[in-house]
Amino acid sequence: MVTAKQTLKQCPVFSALSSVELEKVASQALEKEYEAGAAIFQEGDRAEELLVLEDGKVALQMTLPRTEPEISRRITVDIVTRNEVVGWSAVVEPHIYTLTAICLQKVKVLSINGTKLRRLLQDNPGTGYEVLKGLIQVVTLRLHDTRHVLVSERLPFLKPE
Amino acid sequence: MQKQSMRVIVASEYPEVQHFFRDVVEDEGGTVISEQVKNAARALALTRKYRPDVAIIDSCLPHVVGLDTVLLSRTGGLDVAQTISNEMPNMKVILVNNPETETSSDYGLNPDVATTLSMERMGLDTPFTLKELCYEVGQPNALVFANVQAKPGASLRQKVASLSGTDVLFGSLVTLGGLSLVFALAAAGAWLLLALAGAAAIGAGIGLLWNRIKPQKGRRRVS
Repeated sequence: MVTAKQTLKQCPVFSALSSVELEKVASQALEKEYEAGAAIFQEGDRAEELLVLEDGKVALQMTLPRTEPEISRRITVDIVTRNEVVGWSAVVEPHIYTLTAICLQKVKVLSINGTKLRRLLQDNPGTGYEVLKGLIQVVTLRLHDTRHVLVSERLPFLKPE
Repeated sequence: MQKQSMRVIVASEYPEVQHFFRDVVEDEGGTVISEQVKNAARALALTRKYRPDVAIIDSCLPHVVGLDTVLLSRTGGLDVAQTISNEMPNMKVILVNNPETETSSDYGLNPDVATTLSMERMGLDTPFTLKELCYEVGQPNALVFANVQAKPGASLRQKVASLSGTDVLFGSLVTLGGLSLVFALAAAGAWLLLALAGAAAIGAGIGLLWNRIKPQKGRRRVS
């Protein structure tokens, strides 16, 4: 059975932390499960937890403005898999989820209370620096992938006839 | 009046997954009415045009272009499934997760291994058929999140590999018990009783293991 500390160690955001620091973060964590199709959180909800995926796949969706009545359109902007984090807004102000998280399959997560995590990071600046550094690296990689996809999807329209 | 067969659109970027979806449909007497639907844009266009009974969508479907090294390029599956489900509430929409891993691995291509669609019910992965889904009473416009799962008739190799330690231990103990009985009765000179009792005990032990690993009829896999 994988412990919370082991899960955090495998997560890029927390992997640089020392054993003691991991222990402090793991002590705030709670394991949760969601079934396929369930929404872990909705866009616009208060961001109260940061989640690390232990198993499963989660789609992050953005709600588009309604162009037709009764049909709410959402577009998937990211897919989160094992050992990745969901719900950064719990750490970053204004602490409101900017996307909706939908489970594509049964999902097991490690849920870390946002308020307690922020207090831990504030009280331990070294830990805070490492966690934010890890978060920036994840964001950079996703931005790179997003740009790659944008360019690839636009390229056919720019090719000469 | 002839009963109309179930009309289904299947969508996946991967040929082996398309074959698997086609097998699922044709095994139930249905008809796949689309060919080579490899992205979400085409899946949506054909579904709107042909209005099938069922749409089976690979969750890893790209919107337009699928990039080999970028998982983020394949985020179209859920979006097109939700759009179809919202626009055409009478159609059953099945979003299949992990088909590319379960149908393209050695496990999935083995002809003795039969795979099926399953969904989570009451916390358990439960196999289902398209016909059961179509006639299910409840929420007609519900989007079904499904997985690919091996049917109980897995190959002999997989069955042996899947035996638990307890199964092996118990089967071995019964077989050893039978052998011990054979030797004990042999020492006592009861040869006939020895043959019957020993054979029965050994047979029970082997039968226990064989019952778990005997090959069963599986679906033909198309490579």
